[in-house]
Amino acid sequence: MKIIKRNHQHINPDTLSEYLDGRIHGPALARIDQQLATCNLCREEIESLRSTITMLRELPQEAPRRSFVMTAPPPMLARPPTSAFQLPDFLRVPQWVYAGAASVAVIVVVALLSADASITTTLPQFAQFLVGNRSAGGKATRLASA
Amino acid sequence: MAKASELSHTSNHATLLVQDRSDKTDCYNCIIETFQTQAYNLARRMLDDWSMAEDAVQESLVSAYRAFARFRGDNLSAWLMRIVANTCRDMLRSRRARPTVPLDPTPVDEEEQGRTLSALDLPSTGESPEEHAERGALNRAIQDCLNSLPQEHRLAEVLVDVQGMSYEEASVAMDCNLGTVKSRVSRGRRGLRECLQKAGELLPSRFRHT
Repeated sequence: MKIIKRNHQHINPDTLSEYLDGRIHGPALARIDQQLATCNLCREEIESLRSTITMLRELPQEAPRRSFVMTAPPPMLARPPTSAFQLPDFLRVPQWVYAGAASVAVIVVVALLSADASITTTLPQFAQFLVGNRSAGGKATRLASA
Repeated sequence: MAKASELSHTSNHATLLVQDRSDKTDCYNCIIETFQTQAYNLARRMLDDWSMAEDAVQESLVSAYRAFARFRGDNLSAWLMRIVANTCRDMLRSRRARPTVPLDPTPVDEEEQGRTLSALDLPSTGESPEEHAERGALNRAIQDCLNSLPQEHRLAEVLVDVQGMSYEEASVAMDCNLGTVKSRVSRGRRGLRECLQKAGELLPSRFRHT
């Protein structure tokens, strides 16, 4: 069913579903009741949904053909051997702390490497600039002495 | 909302003890006896195959036994159904990846139809053969419509509308938030309604107007 939103605001399908489950209370419930009193389409919608729910609720529970009761405990999965050394309790932290620390370390290393790379690329340019200035300065002094 | 500690030992099965996080010891077979029908029906509705459903329940109960120490003790039913739902998801995935065709479909089909032709199978509840046949057809139509829904909408429908779980319990069983449960239930209901409207001729007269 299409919910047409022109002159009349129809009830949202999710809200209708919650209304049927008795999960709407207070002013919202009063608003829906008021709207249902005036909206035929909403009433049809809610009635058809109610029938569907009734059908599902009336489905019989089927008994299993056999019992699943266990006669012996199932074998537990083999665990990896634990090392003899264990951290003291106050040093044990959740896994996410390790993950966070590792991420921060990676970011710092990348930042340091990129800074290093920028220094190595700019140093030759800086040296060239210095040499250029010196030669230009030399010319200027020579011109002044002449 | 059942807690492990509330389940008492009532029958004479082997006492399989497990311990939860709060160091409480419980009889695991009592838990199985209490929830096996619910677990089987969830798997049956999700997989639409009683043999696969039995395997799913068996596998889930073994997984639950192994994971029992991780159970927090707030809602045992939802926790168990979550494990069953996960097993069903895995089975559906592997069935999609490796589809199988029964060698002789006839006996299975008769069984799936609720064996409507056999008078011996009629329950002794005073139900007439016509009513029994009608109920079988309705069950089949509903199951076909459930099968046509997306997997997560079907799970929401089975948990909330067939098994009567609250949205909160369903959100634990489905491992998602409350808003997602609401939306899946709503969509599932609308999908089922549309499908059942198409199958209207099979429905009992009181549902035919939907």
